Amino acid sequence: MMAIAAPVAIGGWLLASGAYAFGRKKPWIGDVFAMLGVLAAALFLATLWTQLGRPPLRTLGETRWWYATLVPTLGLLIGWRFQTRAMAIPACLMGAMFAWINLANPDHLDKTLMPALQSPWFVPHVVVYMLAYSALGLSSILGIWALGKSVITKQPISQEDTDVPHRMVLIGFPLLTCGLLFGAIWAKQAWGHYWAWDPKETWALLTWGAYLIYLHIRLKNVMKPKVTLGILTLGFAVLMACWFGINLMPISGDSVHTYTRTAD
Amino acid sequence: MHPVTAAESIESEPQGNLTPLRLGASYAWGVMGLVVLAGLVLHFMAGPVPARAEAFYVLAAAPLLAVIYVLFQRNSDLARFFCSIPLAVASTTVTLAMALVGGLFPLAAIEASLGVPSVWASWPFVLSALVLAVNLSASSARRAWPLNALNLRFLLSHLGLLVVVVGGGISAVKIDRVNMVLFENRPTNIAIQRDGSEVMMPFAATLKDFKLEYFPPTLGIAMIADDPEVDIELSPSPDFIEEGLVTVVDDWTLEVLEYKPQAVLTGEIWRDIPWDTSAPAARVRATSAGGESHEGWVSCGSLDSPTTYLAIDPDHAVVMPILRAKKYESRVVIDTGDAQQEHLIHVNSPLSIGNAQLYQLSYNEEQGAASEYSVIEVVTDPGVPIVYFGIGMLLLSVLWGLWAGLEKKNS
Repeated sequence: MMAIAAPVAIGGWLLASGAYAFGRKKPWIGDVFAMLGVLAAALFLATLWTQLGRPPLRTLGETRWWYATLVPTLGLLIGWRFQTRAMAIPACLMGAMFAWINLANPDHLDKTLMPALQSPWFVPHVVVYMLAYSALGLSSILGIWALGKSVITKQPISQEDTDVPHRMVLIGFPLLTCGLLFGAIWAKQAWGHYWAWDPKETWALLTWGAYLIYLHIRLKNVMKPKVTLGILTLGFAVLMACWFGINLMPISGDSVHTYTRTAD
Repeated sequence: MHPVTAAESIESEPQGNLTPLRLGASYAWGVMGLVVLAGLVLHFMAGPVPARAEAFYVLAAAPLLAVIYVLFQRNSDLARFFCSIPLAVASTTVTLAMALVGGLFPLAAIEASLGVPSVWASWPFVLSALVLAVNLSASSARRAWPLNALNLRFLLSHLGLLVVVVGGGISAVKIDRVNMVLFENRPTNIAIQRDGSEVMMPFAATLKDFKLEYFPPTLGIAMIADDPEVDIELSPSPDFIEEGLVTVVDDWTLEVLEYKPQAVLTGEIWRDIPWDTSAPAARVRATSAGGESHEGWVSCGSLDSPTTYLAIDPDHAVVMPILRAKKYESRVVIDTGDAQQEHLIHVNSPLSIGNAQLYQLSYNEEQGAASEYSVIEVVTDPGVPIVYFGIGMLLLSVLWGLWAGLEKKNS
């Protein structure tokens, strides 16, 4: 089942991207392909969950599958809600790219779940974070796209080009805050302290702080889109460092959050 | 000074005063520069910030004074500067820049180069965070009236964050974490502090039983290396071992012919012996895609039995990776003097005794399930209720923010 679902998801999202790009007057065609991809990816996750006998939220590879699924899902839902397909193509392409990365670097399946992760907070904490990462990832991609378009065409950045990424931050930032707070409550229950300045916690705070700074700077610089979109891009770089990059840093040895790596 | 915009003037002007801010971004960055400089001077003169209540009270006076000043001088340039977005941005950025140092370099490296046990105890970090607290308290005081929806949302997020920061400060100076090493049926009220000294607890604890449960073992194919410096490359199978299991790893089909969950190697025979020090053992047949077949026992080993693997070629072997803990728990009797009660403590399920929480911390990992002791951590932290109150406020603001973010009109 998983061997079929993953390629179907990637194919669905690639077709959706093409349909959105070349069939602007009929966005429903893109929506259908995007939904097909989301359903296939959801089936993949459900099968993986069943096969592992635990929530597939432990390793980097597993969280990447959630990300690949949630980015196009959010793209669709927010698109319907706000009657825009501005994020449809980047959402589908990001979903396809992350799914492809996982197919190219398959995880060793591991059914074990260490005692600290056996908590009711496990699923909400990680899923809320993945939702936040999805919304913030979309905002940054749209921001980079707007910046790039402005540089190439030498045209000023339009209001919509900053409003849509900002809207995604307004959705992603509360979710990011939720993830951080859930993590603190869980840490108190599991390790005795809600905040221990563990490297992962520090980077989670840095990520949250980067978007906090963006929100405040945008309040004062709404007329300076290059500044605000630039900070948004920087914020996403910090987010990626928190999610992936930290495992490559020398400080990762100090972290108790080592279960995010592939089992070795 | 940077040009003042209309947007800049309104951030702390809930009543619509659009007078431009006189003290803007350049002042904010200048203040933060001076704060970091002062922090560095203090660092080299006095060492790290003392983790004492007196230090907390002295530092906490600054946000309190800011609140009083804002309440009485609401529209002064200084009050508006304390509440301003430029100060919020500058203090958050500088505090996070300090945190970045802590997020990049291991504690040992920081201690060796900076002479402080961590960035978090350094004066530049604490003073930067203090300016952030001043900004939060001053802006909260300014927005406390009139209490309309806009100001309430502002208060939930900003005051909530301030409450968390204050609670965190109280935790930093007041938290008490000690370990009790419990041996079976030997009551004790002695705990060990971080510095190795002993302290008497207001209750006695007796370990009645310690249980460690492992996940069932799995199989894998490992590269055998004579050089101990070379990392062993392992291709694991996800499937838990059971009799009759057939699994494929690296083009080898592994078949479990016989499985003994608790066995001891006596001579060359694995015998079923249900001791805590037993090891799981499995007789496995490995068949390559070309039909080559090997058969033999594999075990991850234990205190009583050696690790056993099945060589399938000069460089590779079928192995049983070390067991992973699924759950460990201590059944303890707590005697408070007034009452004796039996409790179960395990990871993610601490026990509350008065103001203290008892956590299952560790055990003798070499002995595993046969560990003769269990380590319970006793944590007392008066900052927790305050932090939780702040978290509650923040969560309310999060829900509100999410609702606003999903509104069709621009919020």
